[in-house]
Amino acid sequence: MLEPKKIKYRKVHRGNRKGMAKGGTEVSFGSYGLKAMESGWVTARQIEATRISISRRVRKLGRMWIRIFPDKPITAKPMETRMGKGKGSPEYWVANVRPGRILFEVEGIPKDVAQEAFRIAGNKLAIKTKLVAKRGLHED
Amino acid sequence: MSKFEKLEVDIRKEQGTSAARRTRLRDRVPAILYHSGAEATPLAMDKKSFNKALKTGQMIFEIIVEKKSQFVLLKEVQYHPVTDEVMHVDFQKVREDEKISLEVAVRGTGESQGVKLGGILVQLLNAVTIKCKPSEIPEFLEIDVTDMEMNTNLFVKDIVLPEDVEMITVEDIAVMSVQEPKEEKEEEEALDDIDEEGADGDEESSGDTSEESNNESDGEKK
Repeated sequence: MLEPKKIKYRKVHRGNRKGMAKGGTEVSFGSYGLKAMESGWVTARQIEATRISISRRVRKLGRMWIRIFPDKPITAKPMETRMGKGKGSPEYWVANVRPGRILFEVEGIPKDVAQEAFRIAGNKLAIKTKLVAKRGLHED
Repeated sequence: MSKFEKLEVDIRKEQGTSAARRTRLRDRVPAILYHSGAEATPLAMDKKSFNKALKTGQMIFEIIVEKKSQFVLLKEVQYHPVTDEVMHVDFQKVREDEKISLEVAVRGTGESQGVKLGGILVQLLNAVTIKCKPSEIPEFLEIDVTDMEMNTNLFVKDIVLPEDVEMITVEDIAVMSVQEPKEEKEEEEALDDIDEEGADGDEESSGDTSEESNNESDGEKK
């Protein structure tokens, strides 16, 4: 699963997820992309599950890009622990996603295959998504 | 220069974020018209007719401002990140005799030999910058991929340019690439990894909780 190799601080604040994506809102590498329509934390596990789901459909026909990276550590307290005694330990990694962000891109597959791949892949994520084509894409 | 799409535009009297938002609420798109040495003119136009004109793929439009017609180049279009609606448009005035530089899309033609052998054709560069007269602007540039074999690239210099069109983009940038597909083993390995990790994670978490719950109960007894 994706996670940073080196970090400066083990624990970070929750931050905010207000507003819309500032960058990464255009399909840049492939022909079709999966765009986030809501804000949320996408975990490394969700990214991996989505990647596997898309690569099963893309197979040898095309290529895939992951446009997000889980760089935010999330802590949790162990089960059946009383409150207090300090902050919990880092448990998993998430990517902070705002609406408009392109999450995945594919190239080399027809639109219907991309649509089906992204429909199933979108089910692995906890946020609403939609398929978008590259701007000015010439479809035969 | 009469084959271009016509757009009826008004001069915007109020400017700024709030005014632009009000303009958009009236189903109009805020725009700006500029040219070197001249003062910029804020404009507004009908959203439907602009979207229709944009779909034609043209880069030059004929705009009618206060009953005066002039030719403009579509310099930039800003889109909403979520709804993909047009937020703002930049126009640049063009003169028939003056050469202009602009970005034009690149499209691959034909089926490459590498793809026939199972390779993947990846377009690395979507648009290139060219310089030409407004009347000679091509809708898109073609690059022939028929002779491409596996693990080969086509560069900007391989794009066939129409007459009187000058390339501005550096010539040794790759445009098209035929790459070998990745083996499926990786996916299977990844699947195995995720299963193992899932199993380990469960064990670890269950172990932790039992230990800590024991400690807690000890503490309570004390």
